[in-house]
Amino acid sequence: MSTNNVQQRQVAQHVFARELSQSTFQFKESDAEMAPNYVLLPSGEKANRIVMIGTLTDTEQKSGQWMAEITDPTGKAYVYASDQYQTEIHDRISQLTVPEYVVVIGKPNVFGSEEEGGKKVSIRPESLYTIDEAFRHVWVGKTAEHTLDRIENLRENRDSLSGVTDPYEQYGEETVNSMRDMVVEALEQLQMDMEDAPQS
Amino acid sequence: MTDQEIINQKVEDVLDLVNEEYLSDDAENPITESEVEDALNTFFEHGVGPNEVVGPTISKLAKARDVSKSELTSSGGGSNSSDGGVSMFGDVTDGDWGNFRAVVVDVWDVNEDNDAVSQKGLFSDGEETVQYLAWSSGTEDIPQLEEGETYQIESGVVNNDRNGNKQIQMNKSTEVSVSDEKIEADSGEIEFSGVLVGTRGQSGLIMRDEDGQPVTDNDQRAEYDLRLQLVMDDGDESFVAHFDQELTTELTGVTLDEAKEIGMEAMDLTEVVRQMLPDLIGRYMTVSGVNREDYIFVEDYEWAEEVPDVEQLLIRARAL
Repeated sequence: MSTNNVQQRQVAQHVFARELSQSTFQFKESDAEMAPNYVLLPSGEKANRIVMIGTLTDTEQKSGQWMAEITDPTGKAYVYASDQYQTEIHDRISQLTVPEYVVVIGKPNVFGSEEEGGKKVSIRPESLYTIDEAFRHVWVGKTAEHTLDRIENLRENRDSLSGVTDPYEQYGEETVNSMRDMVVEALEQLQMDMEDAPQS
Repeated sequence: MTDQEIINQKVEDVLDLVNEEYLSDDAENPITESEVEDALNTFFEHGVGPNEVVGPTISKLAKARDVSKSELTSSGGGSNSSDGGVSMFGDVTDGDWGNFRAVVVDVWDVNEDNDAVSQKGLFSDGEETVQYLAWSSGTEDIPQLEEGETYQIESGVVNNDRNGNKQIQMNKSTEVSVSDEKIEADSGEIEFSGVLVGTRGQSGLIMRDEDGQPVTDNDQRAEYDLRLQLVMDDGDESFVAHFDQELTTELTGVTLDEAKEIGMEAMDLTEVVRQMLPDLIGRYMTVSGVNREDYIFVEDYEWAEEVPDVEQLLIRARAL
């Protein structure tokens, strides 16, 4: 594996939309200006980059940005592409038709505040492409798998966590435990989708 | 031993090897236990076992201070040139001469148009993998290096290529012979499965020089090539999967000639990769090939598009 001290690329976490929307705690591991920003996932693990596949259910242009709403079996996620900084994706969203299956890879972005109705998480996209229907089933399965890995790992190591690494502390028992229910729901939905889907 | 006990032991092992001057408070950037522990954990998280972790950790600490491994661990002023014995690749740097023992991990094709270079490929000294290159001039006595064979290289020159990758160069002063002492390199072959999330460096239709390095200026010697450098990610690690021309055509259905047409029509070489990516990003793949740092030089690939066993996953989830 890579042992050079060049900044290693942050891996992309597979997350369901519902989990992403609840990942409102942001932190950095070092004070260095260029140190990466992370959000803490309620299922455990930090995320600097995420990958998500879902159905494009809405697009809207708002002041120099195109917004894409992506719906997966657990909820909705919002991608904002600015004309200036994500030009290619900005233009691509403007040309997409709804509904359409898409994959997005990007960075979670926490904004808003308690006073303004709660913190929200959006996605600052690095890549966004349309994708075949079949691939979203693979993604749901993989994301369920990854999320379960994180939950199991979290439960095993609960005692050695604290502060920025402890989702129980940051989000509370109820939110953390709800991640397991989210996975069950997503899998049940996937099971039904696959039964309905034509054999290919 | 608990995980923490193992970590503590390894921290001790590393600190024992480090030259005291890097530990003292007077040092410019003293090595702390917590820095060592962080470095060890990075390797553990990437699947490196306790028996393999000390060397890479020392390397990481040395690089962070811009010194060689042997300077960090030496008890004297730090020397890294050969004294008749063999040097490790980690101990030498750009401009050094040395004697080495290395196994050939991969033999690469030499560009037919390039007369200056007679051999190219990858060496491993058991710890690190670096490129090798033999100049044609005066090296008729150097045998044709074979994959899997271990050689003794006397008076090889260390050079960094234009990308900063370390390279062992063999010239008319270099002597190469088959070594009796064989190195057990695991040949660096790995298999990796992940989702395709993007590209790194130049992909699609590129211009390259005779060394295979991409060029962006209008070099008369430059020629077109087709390649893909796809970033693959499984949530724990990411690698750059490098596909050569043949594999790129197999993967995308686009030949070099077709790519050149696309590039010329758009008057933009990058149009080619832009047309390739929509069918690639977001898909799951398994690749196998030679691993070097965070690259995998792909030899074989297949799509990995089976949905995980939903029934199994449900049982697992419900049990939580």
